[in-house]
Amino acid sequence: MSGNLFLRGVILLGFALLMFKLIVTGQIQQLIAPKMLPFLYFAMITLFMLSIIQIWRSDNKHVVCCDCGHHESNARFQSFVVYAIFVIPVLAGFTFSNHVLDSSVAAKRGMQLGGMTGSGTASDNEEEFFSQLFGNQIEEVPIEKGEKVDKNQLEKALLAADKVVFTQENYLAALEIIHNNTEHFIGKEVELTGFVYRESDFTKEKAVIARFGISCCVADASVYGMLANGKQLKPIANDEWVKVIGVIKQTNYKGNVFPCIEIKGINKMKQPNEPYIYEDSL
Amino acid sequence: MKRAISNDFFAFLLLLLFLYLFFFYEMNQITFTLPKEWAIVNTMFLSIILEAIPFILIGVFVSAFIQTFISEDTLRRWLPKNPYVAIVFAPFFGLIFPVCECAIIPIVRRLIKKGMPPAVGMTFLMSAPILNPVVFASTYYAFQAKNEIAFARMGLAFLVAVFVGMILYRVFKQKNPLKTKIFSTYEHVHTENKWKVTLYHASDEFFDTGKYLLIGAFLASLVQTFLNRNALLQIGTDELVSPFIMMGFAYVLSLCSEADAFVAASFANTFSAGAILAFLIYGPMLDLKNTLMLFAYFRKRFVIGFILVLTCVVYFVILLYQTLF
Repeated sequence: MSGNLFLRGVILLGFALLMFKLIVTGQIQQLIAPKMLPFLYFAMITLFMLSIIQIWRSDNKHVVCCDCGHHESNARFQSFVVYAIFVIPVLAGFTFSNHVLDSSVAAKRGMQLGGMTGSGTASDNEEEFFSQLFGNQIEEVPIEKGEKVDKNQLEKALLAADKVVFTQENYLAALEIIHNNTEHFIGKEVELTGFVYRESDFTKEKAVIARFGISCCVADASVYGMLANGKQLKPIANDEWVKVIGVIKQTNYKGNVFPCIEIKGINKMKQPNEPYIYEDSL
Repeated sequence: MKRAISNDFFAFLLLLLFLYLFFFYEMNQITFTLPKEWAIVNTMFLSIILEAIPFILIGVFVSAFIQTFISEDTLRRWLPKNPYVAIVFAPFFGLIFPVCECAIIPIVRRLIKKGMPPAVGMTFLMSAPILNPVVFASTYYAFQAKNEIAFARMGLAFLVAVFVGMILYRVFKQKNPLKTKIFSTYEHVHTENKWKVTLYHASDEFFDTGKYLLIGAFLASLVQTFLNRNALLQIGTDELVSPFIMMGFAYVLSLCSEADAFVAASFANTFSAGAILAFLIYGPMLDLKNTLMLFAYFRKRFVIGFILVLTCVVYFVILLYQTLF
């Protein structure tokens, strides 16, 4: 019994240390979205606490008994396999958690060429709707409220500007705005960073400059991007990160009209420290 | 005794290994790498469990809190006497008490142990991950152009939960669906601090629940990596087949109910509203990750019955929605 408690304490500590290291090194951003971080802090502190209690309890001769029905599983629990189930994720987390999603994942998921497909231009009364719906609770969904304001402002700003520059923050919103108002953006200059992704039917001179968008964790990642055309794309392989400067045109793809970049200049670059964009940080 | 010592020794070695990895191991200086697809499986797996652990802990703490602080009598007084009335009211509990599908299972198990009728508990289990303000907001945001989806999701989830709850009540009545017996007359004999007991319960339950979560998360990450989503479109976007396909898809993906709307939105142009709703309703109520937990806590017959009834009811409700709207 005491051996089990000590072992459990060590495993809890392992999870807490893993979380701590991922958070300190910033690696956590490649696994879950920043908005989930407070929950992770809570989990880390709780696991630390529980592990200390477990280890301390393992030294205590007085075994707590109760009617909670945990104990009959102890015999099974001693088996190596069950503990391995808990130890393996910790070891895997310490050693291999730095893999960034690439075009092989994009190929299996399909891509979104116009920001979020389900969404359109926000109507003006939406904010009012939310405040009516939630009453004073509106603080609970500050993301929603902030986005509406930003998106409308961004739309005005982009329509007025001569050059559209995609950033980490405006990426999804800008994509959606350009997709919904393509005719107003034709001929404008554009600057966009992303990895090169080609569908199986693309030629070498055609690609999507894409990024993964994440809402909560990597498991819900979707691929967002813009079509691009140009000879300069030829030597560039899939998954390479590039900064593209070009002019917005329109193109036909699978029977739909999409905005498209006519490439003027392209620069290879290192994968950024924040390879993903987050669906709430418009 | 010998066994305990060797366990301690093993645990001590493990502790040293963790500390070494924590202080001296540089993730970016790996000399050997996993095959690419398995590296993706690993990333998916880690992200699913890191995302789920905080919520499992919340569930475990609430469950431990109920165990230590709420007596059977109190619970009985709070619940409506008529089980049908209780089943209709159970979904509203999620409104004031937003919990996701990872956290809900330990809580419901504890409530049933404390004497809540199983059908009422299961109604709460189905509805709480959907019928709450956080999920409504994220669905509404993901489907701005079709905001009826968010309302339909809430309404249909309510119908499904109540329907399934009532059928479960008719079929299983008050029979105890839990694996372990209820020792309701057994009282705590030790005089230890209640808070300390709560913490002990919590960490025991973390291991109890956690192992199923870890296995489920691993299976889900395999699907996440190897399933080609374009293949879904080839199977069918037919009115009758597509809801079923999207239910299966939601089941294997095992997404959080807060995030699944964004994934569903990426199918909005290819699948009908009914199929999208099937995805949004079935997924939070039942998925790969929590099926294992259900089987661990509840009797096999009960879980299989629950899965069959839930699947039929969701499909039926979606067909009804498609004919009406």
